[in-house]
Amino acid sequence: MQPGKGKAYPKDFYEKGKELLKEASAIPDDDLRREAIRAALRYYAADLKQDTKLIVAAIVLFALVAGTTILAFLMLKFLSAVVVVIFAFAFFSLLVGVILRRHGYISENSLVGIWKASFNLLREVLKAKRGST
Amino acid sequence: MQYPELERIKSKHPQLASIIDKLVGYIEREAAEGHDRITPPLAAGYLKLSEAETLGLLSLLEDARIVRPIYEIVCRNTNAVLATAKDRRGIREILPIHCNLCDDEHDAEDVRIELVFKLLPQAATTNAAG
Repeated sequence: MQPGKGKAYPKDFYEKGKELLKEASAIPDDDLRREAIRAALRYYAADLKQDTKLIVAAIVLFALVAGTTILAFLMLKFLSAVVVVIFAFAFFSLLVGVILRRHGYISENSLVGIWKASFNLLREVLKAKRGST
Repeated sequence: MQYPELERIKSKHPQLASIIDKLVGYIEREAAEGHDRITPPLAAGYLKLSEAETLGLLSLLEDARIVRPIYEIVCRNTNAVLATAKDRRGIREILPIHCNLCDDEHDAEDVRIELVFKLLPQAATTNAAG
């Protein structure tokens, strides 16, 4: 058995890195501080939420949806614009789901769940639209 | 056991030599007990240092080729180590992963990642020698 009992890990690895980096910065010995910071940065390197490409992709997709929303309200009647916006959001969710699945962040079950929720939303919107016309 | 590279590191950082020796002693004891990896919080508890300081010392031992950092992918439900990865890309390639104990597929939300230090052969052979 290994002796001693360390501090419990915070739920999030990134938070752990932040905490260690703060702790490392306070080490008085210059050499040890430098090494401790190098080691603490490993937590950042491994953090699954630190995927800049994924964040950029999400921002681009969101910008497309936002653009579609603005154009829809400028060019269409209110109800039609609402339908277009909901379609755009559903499409956005599907794309984000596919990207997350492709990167291994979510399981197939979660992706199928997103698709089902999107299709249910679209079905309800179409029903409501039919009812209003 | 003698680690030639470690002597060079200790002479470069003489103020850390005694604590490095203590950590090496801990590692050798762990190896003798058949353990092949060092968990930083446990080593920190033994050395009575902060976890950040211990990580710094383990980084020096990495330079001396005594240990190598790896990431363990641990099931949040059962605490079972499901797999290990050398780097971030490795973690991404492994996930999602099937957990035999839960009998379920786990994605990033269901696991936690822990940084541990695997003993390299020259440290691990202390086990056989001891």
